[in-house]
Amino acid sequence: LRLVGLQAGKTRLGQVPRSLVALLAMVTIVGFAWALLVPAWQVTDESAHFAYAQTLIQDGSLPSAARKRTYSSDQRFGAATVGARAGSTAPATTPPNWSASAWLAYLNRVRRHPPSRSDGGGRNPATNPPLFYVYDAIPYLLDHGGTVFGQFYAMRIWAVLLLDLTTLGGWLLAGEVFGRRQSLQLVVGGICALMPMSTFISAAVNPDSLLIALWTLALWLGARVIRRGARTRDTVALCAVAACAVLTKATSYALFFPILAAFFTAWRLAQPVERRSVVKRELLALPVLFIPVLTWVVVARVAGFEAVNEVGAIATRAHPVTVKGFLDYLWQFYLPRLPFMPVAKLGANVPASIIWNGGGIGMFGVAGVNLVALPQWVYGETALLAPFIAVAVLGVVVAPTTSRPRIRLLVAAAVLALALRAGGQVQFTASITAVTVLAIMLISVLPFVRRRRPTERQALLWFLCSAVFGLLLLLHATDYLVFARTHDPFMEGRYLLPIVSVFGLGVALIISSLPARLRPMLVGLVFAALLGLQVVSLSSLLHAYYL
Amino acid sequence: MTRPRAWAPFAFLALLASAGLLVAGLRAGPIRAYAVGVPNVKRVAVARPHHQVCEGPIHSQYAFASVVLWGRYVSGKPRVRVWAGEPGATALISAGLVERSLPGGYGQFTAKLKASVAGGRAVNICVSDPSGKLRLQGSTPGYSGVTIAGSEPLKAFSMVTLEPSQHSLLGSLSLAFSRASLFRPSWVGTWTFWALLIALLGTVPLTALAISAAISSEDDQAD
Repeated sequence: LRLVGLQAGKTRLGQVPRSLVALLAMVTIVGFAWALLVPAWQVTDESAHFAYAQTLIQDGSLPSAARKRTYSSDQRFGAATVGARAGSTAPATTPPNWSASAWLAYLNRVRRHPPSRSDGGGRNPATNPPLFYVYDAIPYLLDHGGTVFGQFYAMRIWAVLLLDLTTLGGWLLAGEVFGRRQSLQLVVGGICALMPMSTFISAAVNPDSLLIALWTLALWLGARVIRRGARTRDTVALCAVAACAVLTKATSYALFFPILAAFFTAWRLAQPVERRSVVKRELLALPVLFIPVLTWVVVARVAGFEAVNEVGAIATRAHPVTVKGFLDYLWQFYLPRLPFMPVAKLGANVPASIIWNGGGIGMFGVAGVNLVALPQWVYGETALLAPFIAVAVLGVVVAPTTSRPRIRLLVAAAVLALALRAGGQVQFTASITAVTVLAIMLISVLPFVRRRRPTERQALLWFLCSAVFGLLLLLHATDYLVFARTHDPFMEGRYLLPIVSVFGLGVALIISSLPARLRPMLVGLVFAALLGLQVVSLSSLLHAYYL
Repeated sequence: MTRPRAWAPFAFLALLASAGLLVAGLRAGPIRAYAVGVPNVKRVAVARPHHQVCEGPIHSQYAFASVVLWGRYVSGKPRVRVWAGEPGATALISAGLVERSLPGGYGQFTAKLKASVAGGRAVNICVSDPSGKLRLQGSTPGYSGVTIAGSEPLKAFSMVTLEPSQHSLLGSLSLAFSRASLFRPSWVGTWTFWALLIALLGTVPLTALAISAAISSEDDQAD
């Protein structure tokens, strides 16, 4: 029997596509490189996340203002010795400590007088639910007898599994949207994991790594719900993954939008006689989402922990929060300010160009404190690419079968982008991208506004747009609130990573719409660009921290 | 129909990209020999006429020939002199002037020393400005514990030193990896990063394999 079982296991493993195995191997290698190369506590908020995990593991409790210190002696001593201090170093002036004698002295000291690991646990800037930190307890406990650096890097390496999960999620999502066309699945999986910002944040002690993986899986399951008639296992799995996402980070409340869209669309696509049973299956799955989330909310309230990240106000800086103010802010985030508008957002003319493009491609380090940036030309070229991709997707959505309107749209976008570049106004390419994405979102709603039964393709588009809309709405509402109440910066490019798979689908959609003979070249181009970006990013890190 | 050469376009593009990256990787640039480990957060000292600001002792493992400081000019162009001397003695080891002023008068300033300072010896770095226009930026002492002589409370100005000759990124990999292997788990050493580099090079054939397998599977489906 055991032999038969082993044989069956081998057969199942043998069914895993070779291209997926190669992709996962590649992603694991790149993830390892990031996990080990970036100095300790140099990814956004890593100090706070490590402290949270350590408190949870050492004391079995959440961080609490009742305790004095946020960081344990163990963490503070390690951070001070390596030069991370308050969680970040400025790489130009303060690279990590390069002294081998300091490292040996540190090891001798902690062996003779191990610093306390349980005297931290005070008020922590990280106010997320505990799921990610529970996940991170495993590597911490595996290296429990080691130094803080051993535990820290074990947690980072463990996070590479989440990068693999994100890759797998992207692969499966593409399989659901395009059918089992491995080249397109390869593109989506590759984009999900190998965009440098995605690798950077996923191979780190940061709940975003789990968040991105869970969002990608949720989108795959949502697509399954739509395409396969809301089968019980799909609806339950979708709700379970969404619950895990909410228990990882409050950003995931935005997942309610695509879940509702998926459930509604599955109902609309069903034959009238089946609709009642579809609704029944969907309603049965909802407790899987709401019971864990509500339990967490109650537990957090009882423990005096923020269940949802709350935005405090600084009285001297606070502005009134209004709908008009929000719309002004939103306009100025993506488009140039009009003369009659008050200044609603600090920074450049079009913040979206720096935040989404720059921060989405790669700005490494601890945001707001120090950053390791890529060479400027990388941001310039990728900024030109974004509107092309958006316009090309719009073209395929508007005219899926005829190529002439698509070509016209692309030519118009090319002329506009090149004119902006010639005029030194590359930042406005973000405006073109934003307007195009808005147009795609509006088109996705049309079948529902016209009360027509959507096609499966339209349903999937609406579902994906609802995910983009939900996340953007939540992010912009928070950004506006933070701006109005404290004038502090909030928005970061990495916040878009939960929907990186949608970007991947956009690129795959363009490739799928072009002649099949071009596909090897286009897939190769995507991967050459991704690997090129990876090499440039890793080189930038090497230079900034170690040379 | 199968297309065994589906990987060829990727291989060609990867080759092109590799050539570009190789050219970039072979370009020589300055390499830091030592960092005092102090971020440039606030003004910590003013280099006045007839008054030198000294910091040390620094123990650089490697020889250096330039000193980089962070600061601000009040106005005009200052004449900043930087020198390395033995701690507690007046003996001068090497000296140099800040090469050029910055637009806006703020940021980092590099002083090229006339002779390089050997590694492995303790030295003080001193700064003076006859015009009194330079404000040095720094913070509290960093991991090196180095401070401005006589500062109370203890302060340190931001400083790094540069090796005498410039090196390419590819030529400096060994140094970078040896630095990266510190403050890591016990099993990590310089070898780990060399192994990772080899594995990273292996991602190119892995990608070619992935693309080839993916395209072949689609061709099989079409058949």
